[in-house]
Amino acid sequence: MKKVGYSSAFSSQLRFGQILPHARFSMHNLLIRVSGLRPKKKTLVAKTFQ
Amino acid sequence: MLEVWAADRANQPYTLLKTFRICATSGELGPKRRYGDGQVPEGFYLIDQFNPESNYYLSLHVSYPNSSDRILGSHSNPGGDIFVHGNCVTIGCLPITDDGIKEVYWLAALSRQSGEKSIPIWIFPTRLNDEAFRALAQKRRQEAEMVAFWGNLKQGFDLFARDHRVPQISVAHDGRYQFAAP
Repeated sequence: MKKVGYSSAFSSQLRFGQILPHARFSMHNLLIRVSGLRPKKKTLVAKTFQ
Repeated sequence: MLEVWAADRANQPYTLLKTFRICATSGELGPKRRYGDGQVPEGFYLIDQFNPESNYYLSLHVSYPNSSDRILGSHSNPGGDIFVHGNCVTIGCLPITDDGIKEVYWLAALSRQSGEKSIPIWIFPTRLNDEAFRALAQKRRQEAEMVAFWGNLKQGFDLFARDHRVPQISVAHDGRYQFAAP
């Protein structure tokens, strides 16, 4: 596992409170849900994976 | 759309934090089943790797193929290397632009550093409420196996929609997902 790196400039620029100012979460539990994979007519295809 | 939900504790209801537009897709609706099919996986996965050196700014690895995919998909070569990443290009991945992945990566990193070892990522072909599912099933009515697969995904979608809690998910011998209350 590679180390997760963030510059101090970035982390100070994007604080959690700016995303949802009225919420307080410990961020112990996160869920990502994707709902909508409708194909588009024009799709750029990557040359390589990742 | 890619939605990020969060909760203070696992047994608490999750709250939607923010949504991100998936800016490009490949393949057609339906799960990924083999290497090179260009499909985006559909099912219940985990974010299991962080890649700060992605070719597409930053990326989060999706744990495809999971146990269900290994049963229902190609046994010899199901493919892999599925990521949520920056930019707006894809073969089976989920690009959400550089600005988008910057936020999602950061939220995922916060969660990881708070102690969550793996972050669930659920991928549905569309919002699987009753109306959307009926429309999808009608459109693809000739493909009973596909509709049955989406019906299985809908069970998990509905459980979360009911109370915004994450159910326990397992995979049966036939590849179907099974759900239990948290």
